[in-house]
Amino acid sequence: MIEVKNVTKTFDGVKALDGLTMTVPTGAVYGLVGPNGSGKSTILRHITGIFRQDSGEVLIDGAPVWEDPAVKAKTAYIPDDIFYFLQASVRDMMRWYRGIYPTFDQQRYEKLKEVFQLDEHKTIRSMSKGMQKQAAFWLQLCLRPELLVLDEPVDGLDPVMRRQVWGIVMADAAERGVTVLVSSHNLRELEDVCDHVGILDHGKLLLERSLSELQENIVKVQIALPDGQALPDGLRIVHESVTGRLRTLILRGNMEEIINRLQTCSPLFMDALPLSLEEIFIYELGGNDDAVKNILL
Amino acid sequence: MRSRTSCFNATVFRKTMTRFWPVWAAYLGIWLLAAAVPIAGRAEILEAYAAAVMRHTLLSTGLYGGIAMSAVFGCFAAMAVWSFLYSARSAHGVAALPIRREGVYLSALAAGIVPLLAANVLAAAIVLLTGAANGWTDLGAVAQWLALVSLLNVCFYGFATLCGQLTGNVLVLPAVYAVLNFTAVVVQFLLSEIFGRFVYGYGGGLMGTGYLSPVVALVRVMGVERLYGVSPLDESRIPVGAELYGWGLAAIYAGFGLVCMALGLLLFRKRRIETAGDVVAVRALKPVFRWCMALGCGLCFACLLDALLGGGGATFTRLLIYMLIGAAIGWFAGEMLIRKSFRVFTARRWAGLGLCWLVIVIGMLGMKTDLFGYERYVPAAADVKSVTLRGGGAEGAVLAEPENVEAALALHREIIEDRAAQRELEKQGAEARSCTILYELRDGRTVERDYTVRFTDTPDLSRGITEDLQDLLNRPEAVANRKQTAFAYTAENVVYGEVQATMTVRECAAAEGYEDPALFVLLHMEYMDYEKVMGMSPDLRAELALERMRGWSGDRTADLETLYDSLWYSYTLSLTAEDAWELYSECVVPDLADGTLGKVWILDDGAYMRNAMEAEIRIEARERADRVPQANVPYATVRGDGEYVYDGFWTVPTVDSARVNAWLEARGVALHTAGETYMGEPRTEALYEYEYGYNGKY
Repeated sequence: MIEVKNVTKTFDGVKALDGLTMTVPTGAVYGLVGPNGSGKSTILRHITGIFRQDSGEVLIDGAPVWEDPAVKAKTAYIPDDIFYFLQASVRDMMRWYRGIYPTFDQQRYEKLKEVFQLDEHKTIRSMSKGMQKQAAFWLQLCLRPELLVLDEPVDGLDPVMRRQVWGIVMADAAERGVTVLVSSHNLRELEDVCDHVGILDHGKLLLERSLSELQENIVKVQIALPDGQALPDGLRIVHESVTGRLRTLILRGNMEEIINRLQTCSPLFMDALPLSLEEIFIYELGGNDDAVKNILL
Repeated sequence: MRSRTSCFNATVFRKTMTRFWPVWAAYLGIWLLAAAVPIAGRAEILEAYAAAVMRHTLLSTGLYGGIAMSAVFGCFAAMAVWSFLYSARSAHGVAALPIRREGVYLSALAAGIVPLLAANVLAAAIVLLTGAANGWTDLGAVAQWLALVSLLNVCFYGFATLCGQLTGNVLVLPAVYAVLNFTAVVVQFLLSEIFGRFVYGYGGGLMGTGYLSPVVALVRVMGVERLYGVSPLDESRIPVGAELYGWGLAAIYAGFGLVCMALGLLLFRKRRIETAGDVVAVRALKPVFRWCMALGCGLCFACLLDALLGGGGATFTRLLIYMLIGAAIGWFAGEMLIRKSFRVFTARRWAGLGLCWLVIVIGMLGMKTDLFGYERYVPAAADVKSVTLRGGGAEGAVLAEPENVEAALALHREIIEDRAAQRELEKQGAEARSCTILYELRDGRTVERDYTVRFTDTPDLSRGITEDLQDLLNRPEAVANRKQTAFAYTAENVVYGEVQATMTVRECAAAEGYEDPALFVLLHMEYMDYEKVMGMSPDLRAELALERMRGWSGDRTADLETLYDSLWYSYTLSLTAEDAWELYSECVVPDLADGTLGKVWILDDGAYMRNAMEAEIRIEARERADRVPQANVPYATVRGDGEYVYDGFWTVPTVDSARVNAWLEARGVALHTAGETYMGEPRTEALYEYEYGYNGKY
């Protein structure tokens, strides 16, 4: 389990993390979402032991990450900007990681060679961004990590390779109980893979729930009421739009309860729909206009 | 649970080392060219002393090449192994590894120094093999070369490593390294330029800080000295070996390099990885950097503008303005580098610059008004152990007798008291002599003051100062100190002597035993063939001599007898060991004791022209090294039938050195004063000691 407790981090007077607290359960696939500059990459760098927090705690399985090789050895990290030596090939980097991580799985390396189909002797620098990303997955998955930290992991990958990569990651999560912490702007993709979501803004966690909890607590209803009929009182409307007689409502609360209440208005038409993660993200950040603009742009 | 690879990681070490193989290959290649190739080349000129020459060459290459190579490649090595810190991608990649920072640091550190040391060992082995293949085996020299170069490697690589921890930018590392390597010397120079102009008597208050610049200090202090022996063929001096001196300093700097490495570790452990790309990676050093930039630029700018616009003579106010402008440039340039932005002109930074300006103004005004009493300070007599005086370019004379120390202090007080008059004389362009007073205090400290004392022909305090200085330099204690030999001369150790005197042609001929001076002219001055000259008639010899002398004198109408008595020639009388000892022991030493020899004249009042003879006496002695005080052992050590130290004594007779003059005249040497030999024309510099640059020792 990853526990981030009240972590703050300041860069040149700017607070990148402002008392951030979050918890990633063991075995979870945790999606970290938030607008640009909200602190996603920064907290991932704390969790991987790259940055040291100004205050607070970052713990993995109860142990502080900072300067603890045993904790860091259990973690694989694929950043947005992948690290490799200037002249290195995938094979060179394999030797590098094999020398450093005692858990490096050579057999898996050979197996994944068939999946990624990269020339392991080719200089990584000369590869396309997508191929570099594949190389990163190839190498990091061979570390047999207990925690996989991914920062914008599938940027640059083609759709087939995305599916393939996620397949391997999900298999690891399912078979070996690997905890996956992933930060991404691609909310649709996260929705497919994550079971937990944390929304970050201005260095703070706005909310953190399981995806099912999140989806159960907010409902989209399309309804057409008879002329002169008003909506019942007490509904917690997050957003409302009207097209002719058809109203689209985003409501906070339990779907069943909301539908029962709306039935009292004898609607001409009513349909309740689940919200996508992207919609939840937008409506949850509704009070933070700038953040919403960011994510929409 | 801690990783078992917490202090060292072989993969990091190996990978870092192999990645930068071109650096190590270049280092080795240059050493092979600089050290091994000359050895192979010299094989063709193998002679009896070639081994000594090769030893000298190798050690010199090891010293001067070692300083240059270590300074350059130490920096390259540091740039290579710490390069991962200077981009966010690599810094994050390494920081995420399950290795403690100590492990990363020590592994990378070793990856930089091990290949350098390995290249040294390889180069030494190749030098040894090359030498052996050419008949030269000097394991000791090669071992010294290896040890020295390795010590220098540790020094410079360690220093560059520390510099590497101060910054987050790979291009800033060599800049910081170069600046810090020479800061002490440059700042000392710049401050001397400014203080020397406005602080009366400024004597290099930062002297000794030169040791903060390793390159400069090593070049100054260390060296390779040739060892000479006696040739079995003709007993001439031939090189028999070479010795490297100054090992202590090399060891100290290597220790300094190790300390730098340790400090580097402390900084690395605390390093914020997010500083990759920053000019200054240590937060606490950012204000220091800003202030250093401001003060450094202020000093440089002031000196630069002064040289460009004022020809080195700007007024105090103008220099202060230059300095404030320079400080502002440095202050904001520093801030721009820290912030990586041009938007630095904030109110806070202007306020900081204001404070910086205030410090500069207070410092400069304090300097000008002698706020700290530097100009007025004269040590108390009771505190002074000895005073070294240098005047008019003459070598220092050490005075330790209480009355002489008191006289030196009185002279110092007079100089301070006469400051205003001295300034006035400077404007008038009066004659000037340098005067350095160096006190060695009883508590071990030294105090140095440098003055330029000016004087006119009018008897006043200014002239009195110069006269007092000359008087002090000619006191028996000062003369004895100047003329002290490296060891006591005895009949057994004096080996040679020589007298050179400027004499007329007729006197030279007489000294050589020629009745006809024309013979001297043709045989000694013209180097004509003896048989040919002796086959000529006396008339023909006279005509030929006249023609030649007219040519030398430029006087085409002078007659023969006039030229014999007016044409000067430098006559040399070689002395046997016995004669040299007799001259030294029976004439020179007593005359020195009488105060008639070993004098200096720093006043241009004609006294030198009237009193100093245009002649020199040289006495050479050698003594077994084990009988010579170690502190006095010069580097001219001879090996052959034992180990010897050579020493030379040198002096100029005066009109008062009665014993010396009588001894020389008895051997045909005619003595003339400097005034006589220059036919009454006064010389512009009446400072014989100044002209020769040393006093009696060579």
